[in-house]
Amino acid sequence: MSIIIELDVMLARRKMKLQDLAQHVGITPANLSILKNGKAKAIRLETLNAICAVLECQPGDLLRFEPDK
Amino acid sequence: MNNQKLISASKTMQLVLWVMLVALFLMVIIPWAFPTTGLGKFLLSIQNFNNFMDTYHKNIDDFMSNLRPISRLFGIIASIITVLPLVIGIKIMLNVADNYKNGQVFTLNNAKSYRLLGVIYLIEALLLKPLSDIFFTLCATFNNPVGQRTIAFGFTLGNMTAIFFAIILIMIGHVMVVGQKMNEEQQFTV
Repeated sequence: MSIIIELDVMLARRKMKLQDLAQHVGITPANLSILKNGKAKAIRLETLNAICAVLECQPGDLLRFEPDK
Repeated sequence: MNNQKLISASKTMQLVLWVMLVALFLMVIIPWAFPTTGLGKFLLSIQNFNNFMDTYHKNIDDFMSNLRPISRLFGIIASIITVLPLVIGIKIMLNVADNYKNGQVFTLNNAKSYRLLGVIYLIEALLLKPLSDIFFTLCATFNNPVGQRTIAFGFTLGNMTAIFFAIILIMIGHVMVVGQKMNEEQQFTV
């Protein structure tokens, strides 16, 4: 997929665990793991908003576009 | 609780389908092995064979007792063609019932099975039914002198009904496939 999710990078920068983020955002670690591993087909604005609020970042810090080769 | 109901309904469905499968097998074998017996005649009448016989022969019993091997072969082929879509349909539904028993209800496999069922009955209505008619008429008239042999097939309201239900089945299958894909996307929406 051309949209790359850089959640693991932001988690590392904030020195936060996936479980902690899941708890703060209010979704299950399994769902967050789907997002982190790039298996998600869609992301709700509500979820993105919550993640950005907890990690104190912009959506652009989490999502990156890479053209298909 | 619902799961238990589904399992029990699937088991009942499988039992009924197996009984139907055996009945269909006997329906093909018995009439052509024992064409002059009461049961044989009854099973042939179920397959609509009597209509063809009434058209071409005054005395059906005479014809059936002097059945030549080639006519019998045409009859068997016609009977097999008549029951073939049902046999395939039963096999598909047995698999679907098996999936239901294992708790796989709204799956891509089941959706594709329903669509395949629709396609099979569409082929049956458009192609196999006229083809079985041809073999039945051949069976009924092949003993006749040259010039009096007939090949005939018909397209009736029954065919139209079958086409209608086949299209509905294909549509349901198609909707189920789309629904399954939507469900899958929903599962991967975070």
